[in-house]
Amino acid sequence: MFSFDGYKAIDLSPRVSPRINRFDGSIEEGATDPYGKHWVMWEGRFPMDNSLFTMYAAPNDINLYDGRQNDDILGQERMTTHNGSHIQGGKGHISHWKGVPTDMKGLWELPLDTFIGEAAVCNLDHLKPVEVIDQSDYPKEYTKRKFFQLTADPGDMRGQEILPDHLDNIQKGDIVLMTSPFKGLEQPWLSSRTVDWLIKDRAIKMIGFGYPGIEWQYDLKVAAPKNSPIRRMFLGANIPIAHPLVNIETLSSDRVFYYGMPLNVPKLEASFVRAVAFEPQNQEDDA
Amino acid sequence: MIDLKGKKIIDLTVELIARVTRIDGSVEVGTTDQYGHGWLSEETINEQDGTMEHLVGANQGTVAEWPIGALSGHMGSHIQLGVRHNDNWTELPKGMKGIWEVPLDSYYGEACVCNLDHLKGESILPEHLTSVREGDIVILGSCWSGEDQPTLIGETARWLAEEKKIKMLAAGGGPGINWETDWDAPEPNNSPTHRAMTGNNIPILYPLSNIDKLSKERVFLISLPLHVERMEGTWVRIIAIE
Repeated sequence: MFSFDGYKAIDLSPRVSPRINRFDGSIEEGATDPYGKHWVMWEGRFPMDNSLFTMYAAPNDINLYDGRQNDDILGQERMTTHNGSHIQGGKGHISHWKGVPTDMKGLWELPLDTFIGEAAVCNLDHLKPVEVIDQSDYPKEYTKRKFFQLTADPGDMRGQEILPDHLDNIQKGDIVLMTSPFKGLEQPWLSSRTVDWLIKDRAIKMIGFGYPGIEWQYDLKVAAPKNSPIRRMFLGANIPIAHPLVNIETLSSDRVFYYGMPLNVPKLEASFVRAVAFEPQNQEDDA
Repeated sequence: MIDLKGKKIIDLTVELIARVTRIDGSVEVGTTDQYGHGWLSEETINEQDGTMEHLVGANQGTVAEWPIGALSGHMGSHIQLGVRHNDNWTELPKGMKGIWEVPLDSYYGEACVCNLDHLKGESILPEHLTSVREGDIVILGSCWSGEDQPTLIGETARWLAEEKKIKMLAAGGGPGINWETDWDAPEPNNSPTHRAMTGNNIPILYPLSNIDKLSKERVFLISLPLHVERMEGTWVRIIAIE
């Protein structure tokens, strides 16, 4: 019998605290997810058995049974499958981009064992930001004092490129969980050459990113097919991406068992996910 | 490290194909769940990076078959506990919890597979569930639909909850079992299965499919709720490993 006996479950999904409009007219305030997105719900009463339930993505001024509706926040912001921790595949998400592979799959077309199995934990806290000497090669530079100054000044601190040497605990066919304690422009960043290695040499089956921690979403506005190179490479290779994850840095083992299944809703380009790592409680016994 | 070598994963989740309104306005029809509810999605462009994302639900009145537009956490295969769901009923015990308040290991473990094909239209009694062990997740299924489904009566639900102290109730649906009775009886005699399970902090998982595909009497089941506090029921992906 398969079992998690002897393993400790560590939640990798940030807890979502929704804003809930209660049936009695009261409002319980929530908090945003790590990306600042709201999760807003309405409470309704099921008249058949007098039970209560909540509704996701309730638009403004709906009238559900006897529920109270009118939510300024939700009226301004529809919610997507990308709220909270979620997993995304290529089909339906980037399949309209120029230059993506024609055999790119949707989440619902990938085998179930894509989302479960041994994972390499890559906590890159040793990749400390470095001082820019001459010109920065950081992929996400912002305009500084003048609009034409697109690169960092000497002396500014920037995150390091993540290289295969930094990922030597990744085995072929792994799920990869990656994070660091750094934020903003000091986050280590994934380059195309390293992702190429992850795909071709390590043949990873899924990747999960902590947030903040790793810079992987850059060149978003560059003309296709050079836009969003990291997302394009992973999803183009049918390697789904789970994010934002938390607690990766609390994992004491560099190898864990990961579980994070998407919902069984074909055609969804992304899905909410509950991601959990199972780590051996006695790692010497497990070695 | 545990691994999946030699193991088979069986998806017990009811598939719910999304009804998608594409960016060009075309609509792809989806499927509905056991209650007739569909998953509504609407494509939108994320202006930050040009990716396509699905808005969940629809604007009120724009989908004729579901004018409410919003989606309930009780749609498709889902999991529920009592707080904020039925703790508004009278005479429920104190100490009931919400799905966000119980440990993660409440949602996985050894499961006893009870295929009740031989109980067409009959009540499910403790004597039909002799393979259930204390602390099990209990999977109840049958090949029957509608009125022919076996029914989990209150007495048996209480026996499962209080004597066998089961960890989770997982009920197949359409085909499967009818797991609730007396839902419209006056309180406190209403919905005895809801009361027995949520009153004892035993999550209810419903509906499951593919129970008939399980070849073992005992399997490992995983079904984690979304990590959303104060949400009384959430959509889940249910898998068995055998």
